[in-house]
Amino acid sequence: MKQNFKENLNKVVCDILERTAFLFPEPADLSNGITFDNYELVMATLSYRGDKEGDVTLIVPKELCMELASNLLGEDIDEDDPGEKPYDAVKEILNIIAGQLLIEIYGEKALFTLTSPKVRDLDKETFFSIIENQDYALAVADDYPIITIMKTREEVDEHQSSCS
Amino acid sequence: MAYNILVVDDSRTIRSIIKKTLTLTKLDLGQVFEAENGRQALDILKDNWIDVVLSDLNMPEMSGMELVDAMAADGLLKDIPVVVISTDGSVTRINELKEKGIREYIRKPFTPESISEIIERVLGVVENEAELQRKLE
Repeated sequence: MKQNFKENLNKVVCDILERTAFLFPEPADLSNGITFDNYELVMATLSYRGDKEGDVTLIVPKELCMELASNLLGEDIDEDDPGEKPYDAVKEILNIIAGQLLIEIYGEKALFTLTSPKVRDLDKETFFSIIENQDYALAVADDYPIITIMKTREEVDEHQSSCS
Repeated sequence: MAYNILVVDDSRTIRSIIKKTLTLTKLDLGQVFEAENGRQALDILKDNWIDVVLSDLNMPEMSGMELVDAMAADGLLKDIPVVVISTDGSVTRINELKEKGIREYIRKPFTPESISEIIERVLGVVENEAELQRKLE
């Protein structure tokens, strides 16, 4: 991933998290000693169709999803019984990030339709496979790592054919 | 006069945020109705007096665009103002929606102030454009 593109991803992610969830992430690098070992991870993904096609993915610790839900809704979330609120929160944040990214990258005249975000828990093996094989942007908010991946369909197809 | 507002969005989180934002405005709020998609919104609109509809665009079953079309084709619903709140920021789409008759467009992420100002303007709570401009500054 070009450094410039990675910086743009992080710029949008940091801006949206600051404006919607009162978090203040900073761009980061794995060489900063960031570890994922202590976290249960959640992955949210959506696809965009239209003038270009592709996917946007956000991977964050479950604890950060709780914080997102609490900050977005302005209410305390019961840690023992959070229900779907943390998942809904990360889905909504992804939705807003994707919308903003598409404008930043393709301009305000481009037309896109976003699919509904899907969210799932992510085991460590799958997580490490993803970050080993895909370009991503990394930021840190309140010590929580945030990974953003954006792939246009050509890149997805190229990746799939090189793996087969 | 209390205003009844219909919030249409498939995200519970966004519906909650919008409802909470509405309570922070100076609007005299009546009932705030919620729908997960355009289809549910039409059912609510047929059974209740609604002063303004706040709708997302991308929703399963019936989108915001289809809701706007259905309302425009219904003599009883066509004059209810629709404000679209969406992540879709394409000016092409916004122009298309304005041609279909939506009153305002708010792009996510929104601030409570932006929602408040626009709803007040749509409902005529703010007296005129000059006053609105002064408040926005």
